Amino acid sequence: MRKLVGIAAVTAVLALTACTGSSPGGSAAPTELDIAAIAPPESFSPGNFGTGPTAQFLQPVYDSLFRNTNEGEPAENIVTKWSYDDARTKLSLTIREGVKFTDGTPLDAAAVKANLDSARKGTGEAGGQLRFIQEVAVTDATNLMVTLSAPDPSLVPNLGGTAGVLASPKALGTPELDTTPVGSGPYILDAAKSQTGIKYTYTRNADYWNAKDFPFDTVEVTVFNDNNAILNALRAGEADFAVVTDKDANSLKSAGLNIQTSPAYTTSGLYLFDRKGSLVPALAEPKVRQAINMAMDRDAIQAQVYGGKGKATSQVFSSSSDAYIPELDQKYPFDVAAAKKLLADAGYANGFTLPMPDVSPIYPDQQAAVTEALTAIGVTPQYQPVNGQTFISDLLAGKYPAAIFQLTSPRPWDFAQIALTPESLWNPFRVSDPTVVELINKAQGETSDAQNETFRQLNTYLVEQAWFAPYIQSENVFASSAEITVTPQRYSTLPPLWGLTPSKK
Amino acid sequence: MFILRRLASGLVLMFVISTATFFLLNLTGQDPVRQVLGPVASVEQVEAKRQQLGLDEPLITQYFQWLGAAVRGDLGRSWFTNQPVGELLSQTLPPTLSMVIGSLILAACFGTLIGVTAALRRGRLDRGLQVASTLVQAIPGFLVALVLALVFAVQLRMFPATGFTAFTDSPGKWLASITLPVVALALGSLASIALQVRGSMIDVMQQDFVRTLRSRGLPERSVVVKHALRSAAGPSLTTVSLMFIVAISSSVIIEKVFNIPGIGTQANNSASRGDLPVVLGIVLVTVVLVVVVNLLVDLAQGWINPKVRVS
Repeated sequence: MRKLVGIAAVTAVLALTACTGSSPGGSAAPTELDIAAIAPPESFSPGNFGTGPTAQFLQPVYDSLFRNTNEGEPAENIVTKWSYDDARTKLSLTIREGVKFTDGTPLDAAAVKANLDSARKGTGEAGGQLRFIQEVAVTDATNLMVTLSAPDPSLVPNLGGTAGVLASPKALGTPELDTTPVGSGPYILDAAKSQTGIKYTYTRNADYWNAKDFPFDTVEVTVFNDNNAILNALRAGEADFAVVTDKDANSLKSAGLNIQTSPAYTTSGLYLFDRKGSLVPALAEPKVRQAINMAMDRDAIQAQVYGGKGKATSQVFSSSSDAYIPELDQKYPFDVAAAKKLLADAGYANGFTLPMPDVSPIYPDQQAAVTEALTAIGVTPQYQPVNGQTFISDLLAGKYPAAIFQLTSPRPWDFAQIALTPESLWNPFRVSDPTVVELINKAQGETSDAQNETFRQLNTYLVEQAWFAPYIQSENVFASSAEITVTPQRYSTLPPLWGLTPSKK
Repeated sequence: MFILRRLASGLVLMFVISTATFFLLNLTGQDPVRQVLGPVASVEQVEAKRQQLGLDEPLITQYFQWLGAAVRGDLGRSWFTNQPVGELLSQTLPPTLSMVIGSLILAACFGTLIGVTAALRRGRLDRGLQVASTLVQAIPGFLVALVLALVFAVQLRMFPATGFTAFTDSPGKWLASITLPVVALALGSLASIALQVRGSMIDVMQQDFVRTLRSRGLPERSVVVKHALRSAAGPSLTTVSLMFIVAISSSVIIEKVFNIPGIGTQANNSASRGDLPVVLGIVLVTVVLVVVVNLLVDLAQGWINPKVRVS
């Protein structure tokens, strides 16, 4: 018995030396792209997934209706022509001819309708982006008319993202589609070399209509559970692209990796939900909310909590969006005395108590900074223990008048939908302000410059009224091997698949 | 009869532990649906998903539905990825078992070898072994794993730093992918086994039957290997079965370091996001593994030492 084990051990060592003999070398363009991801996709069924990082897993297998440009503007892809009517509630689409799904089903107008109808019933964030669609009608094989219940300025760009992916109508609605995508994209998921939730290997779709935009023969997206493992994979050349933390950037740079930053479209701050004063009457007073904004030393928070990274700001709209106004960041300079005076003017010279969820287990530094700011002006934060699993539901149910929190929402219109209207999910106290409602309604029917101007007015109003007390808009740090070049896309937290290309020698 | 009794008690154990897990995870008052859908899903979407997952039913109904399906071999689907739990287990078990069994084989072979040598030679070698064993046992496995990964994978590039290759895909790559994790996992158990074997061997070698065998002129080699080692093996085997359970739980952290998609990582992720069907599936499989390993060790004990069989 022992002899047997001995023999096994010797063969094992031999096999080992045999297989580790070859090492990668040469300077040919890489044919494989290895992406390190931090969370698996929720699903491959249209409408059932999120709008953010899930795209890494969807873009290889699916075509979206549109392909957004690097500037975040929608451009043609499966849709070749599109136009709105004057009321902006009827969107007509013309579809590219001759595209087929990998199961042979033609990608025609009927297939697009089947996808949109299925996706808007989906339970994911992507499905939610289609909520304004009322009806999809097929005109002929290549033309459709989408009718909206109200204008949706973000619909077309969202259809260039995960909300617009197209799966084979034959697979729609089957449970298999959640784990096995059937699309018309540049690659096909190789089930034999993939493991759901862990590793996704994509190989070329030989019939793809636009292969020139996808230079790699194989794309592998691996889910990592540990930051250190990501760093090892990058350093050992096993991963070509990953999102890393600020503090690892320097050591990766010295290991020969490229580092670049890109907006994360996430605004962190003290979210003052109870603007009506239902739980804490003081918060209904704009001067109180302004005082809280003035108590925040944003530069210090940026330096100490965020290591100098990100953008210190008092605005919730992304600094990369057209709604952002640089001068507004000077509105609330750090000034404890002035803040105290505002509080006294509002009748709270002795301060007040502010119940908040205790987020010190996840954001100890942020909580320390906010506590310091509030106590300096006499406001006493009263931290209440939270249950991590019910935290979000408790916030949504209006259990807390204010919270240290962050929302990710790239486009101004989408942020308004998520957090500003009286019905918005992240307006838990259902605060309704006529000016805010009017400006959002105005923007809804507008386009381009006029719309940007309205969003700037809305932004100005929100800052003046101190609806929030934001302090930082964070950045993502991308690490990539020297063999690839990364081109980010505006309004997208991660670069699209076509933004990862072989570096030119 | 003995085997049947063992299997029956294993079944009871599976039932008790899975029931406890089911109700404990539900007691935490978490909302798995909100976890699945994220912070910006609307209330309507959350309710639709809740219905779809059957979570609007009373808890006791949910339990019997799960139990009824589980008895028929259907462990359900993950709430997060909709992947069948059975399929998920068949993907995550091979990496973990490769690591755990590999490390036990390594630890048992080298542990026995070192233990026997130390027991027979004594002196400086023996003292050195004892110091070294204590040291190795004191170093946490994940630290060893981190150092191994940095030196042999990142610096020397002899082995992959992350990931797992299935044996069926490529035996060579499979071996390369588990070598560092196996070594990291094995060191601690190797030291315990070496100490254990050393102790029992010293005891056995001083017993009367060894003197009798020697006086009959049996070669020393045969005395040691055929007779002494056989009677010293009992306690060491028990150590190995305990090591198996320890190795399964330590594999969680080793899997993390090498990003190996094993059952430990899966258990960790699923438990933290409240993916009940997956957690229950993993609990069941772990109980089965432990029962089977204990059974095998008992059988092996009987084979090595007939005296044990009666009890």
